[in-house]
Amino acid sequence: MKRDKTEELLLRARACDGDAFVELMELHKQSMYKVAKAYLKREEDVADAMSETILDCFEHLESLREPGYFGTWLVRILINNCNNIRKSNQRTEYTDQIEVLSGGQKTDEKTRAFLDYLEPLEEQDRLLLILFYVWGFRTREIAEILHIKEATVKSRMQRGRQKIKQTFFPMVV
Amino acid sequence: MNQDRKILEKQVLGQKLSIPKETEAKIEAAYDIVRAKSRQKTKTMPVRRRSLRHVWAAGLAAALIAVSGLGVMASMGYFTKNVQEEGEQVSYSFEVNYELKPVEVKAEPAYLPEGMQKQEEGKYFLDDNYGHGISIMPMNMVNIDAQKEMLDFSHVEHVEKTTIQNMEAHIITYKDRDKFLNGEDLFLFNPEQGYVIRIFGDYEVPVEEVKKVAEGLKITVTENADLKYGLTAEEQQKKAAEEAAEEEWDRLVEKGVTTDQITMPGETLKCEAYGTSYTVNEVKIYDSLYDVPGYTEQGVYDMERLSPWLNADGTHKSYQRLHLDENGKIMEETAAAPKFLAVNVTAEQFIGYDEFGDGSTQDSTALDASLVYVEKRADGTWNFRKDTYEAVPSEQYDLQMDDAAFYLSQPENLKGSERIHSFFYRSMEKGESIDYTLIFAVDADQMPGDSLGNIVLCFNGTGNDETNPMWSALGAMK
Repeated sequence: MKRDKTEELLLRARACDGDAFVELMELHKQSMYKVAKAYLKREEDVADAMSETILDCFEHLESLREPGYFGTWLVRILINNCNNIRKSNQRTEYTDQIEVLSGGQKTDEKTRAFLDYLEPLEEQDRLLLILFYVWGFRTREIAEILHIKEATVKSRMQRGRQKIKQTFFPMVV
Repeated sequence: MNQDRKILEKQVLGQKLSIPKETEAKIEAAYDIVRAKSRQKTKTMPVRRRSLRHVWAAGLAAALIAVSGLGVMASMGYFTKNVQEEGEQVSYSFEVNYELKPVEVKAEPAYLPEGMQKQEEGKYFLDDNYGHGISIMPMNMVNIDAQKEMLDFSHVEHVEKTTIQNMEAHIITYKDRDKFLNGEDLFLFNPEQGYVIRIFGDYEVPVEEVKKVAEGLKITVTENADLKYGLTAEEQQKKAAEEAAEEEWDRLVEKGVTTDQITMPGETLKCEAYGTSYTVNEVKIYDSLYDVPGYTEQGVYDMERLSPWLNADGTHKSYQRLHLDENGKIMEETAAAPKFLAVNVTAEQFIGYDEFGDGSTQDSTALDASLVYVEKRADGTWNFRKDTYEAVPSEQYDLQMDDAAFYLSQPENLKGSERIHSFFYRSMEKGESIDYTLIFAVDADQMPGDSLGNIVLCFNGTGNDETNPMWSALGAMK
């Protein structure tokens, strides 16, 4: 009975194997980074969201009953942390202007392209596309993660794609 | 053109992004905390398979330090190494020479076993299956300083001391390799240049191959002005906060639950957070799964887990099981004979999914539950049982993993990823209720005389908060 790698690492991580937990996080690091990057403007907030998520996941690993839920569980924690950081920022000095998503930061070409692509979208729509294309979740799973109806996920994804089309492919019919 | 756009979309969103150094540093800091906590946890928590050797070591680590053993002081330089060997236990500790500035060390293999490829930094695998990998972990002096007293190994069969690449090398092999699925550890010690390299081979990798990897390592040492011993004030503050939070968590978990806080069979447990209530209607123990009324294969979450353990008549095959004490020390190995525990439940969604507000509405109800083995303490409160029982790793027995149900009588989500993620969930209208059956595998000796006074249910829809558990009894709690 072969297990997949995530399941193996989870078993080991639950058995207090810190290296296995780190390996598990490394497997999802890129995907986590993209979610955080789509949510948060400042790189230091992105770093905080990721590090908090890593620690939260580790602290509550025992509460995850079914390894098959790991992806949704992890991304939920990450989104919660992103929301908390945003709330905290809003209480202080930062405003929520998605127009400046990629502004004012030193970014490499790929990150710039990634952020530019998402920039026309509203925050929730950006997240939907990342969960769909980067994490590989299906619309039903995204609905579960964000606690919204599947029909809403589909319509928002459609709306997001439409905006991208208008921005980057205005001549395409 | 639409297709081209979708491809571009996937490419742009799917490409690998470069994570800035500062962000990586914070992630690494989190990893350091995780590793440190893991080591701490092995000393206090019952643990599961595959890390058993770490656990066995933990219980004896303190005693080993007190015992003079066979201490060997290594040559001076960046560090001195002390090796304690006592029976099946081996423990390394390091004294760091803080006068010398730490340097960065990297190690790349020039040789890898056939077919093995680099999967990520320091990790080399034959394929995605566990058991076929080699990990190479260079440790600079800052790393060594951080875990200088934490390299403990147990169940050791042999420590071969040799020389590889002009460095002192220790190759640790473990007893009952096939049974406990242990690999081997190889250490290269370089006190002159200030590093240790650890190579770990999984249980399918022969020790000779691990040696060859060590012999072919290309090691580079470079200066790194950022490497500094100790924690910054900010790190110390964070560490203290983490420790305080951990202590508080432990305190809250330790307070336990009184009998009247446990919901008895026939009573209804209401969980306001998710708007769901659960009532345990009936609990029965069966020798054969096929005797459970209404049983069908459709209700089994994962037949691959179940089928190898079923006899033709539906009874459960026995398996080899370990009994571990609260420190993770093996007390006993026995053959366990599980039975099937069927629990009939009524769940009601008494708040509509759209009534939660704050944008956080849910759209399904969790029907599953897990078993919690509890014990009554002298003050009359109930808490998690300290001892644990685990299948011998080589048994690959997962049916009781996390003490979760493996069967739901009326699953709604049966296909693809919906099955994986939502098998135990169901979309319910406000006011709708459902009667269903969960089945668990439980070792017969955990229910002496079919008594269920030391097992409770924790429904997933209650939030699983260990500091404030919402338990449902399966029988009289005495």
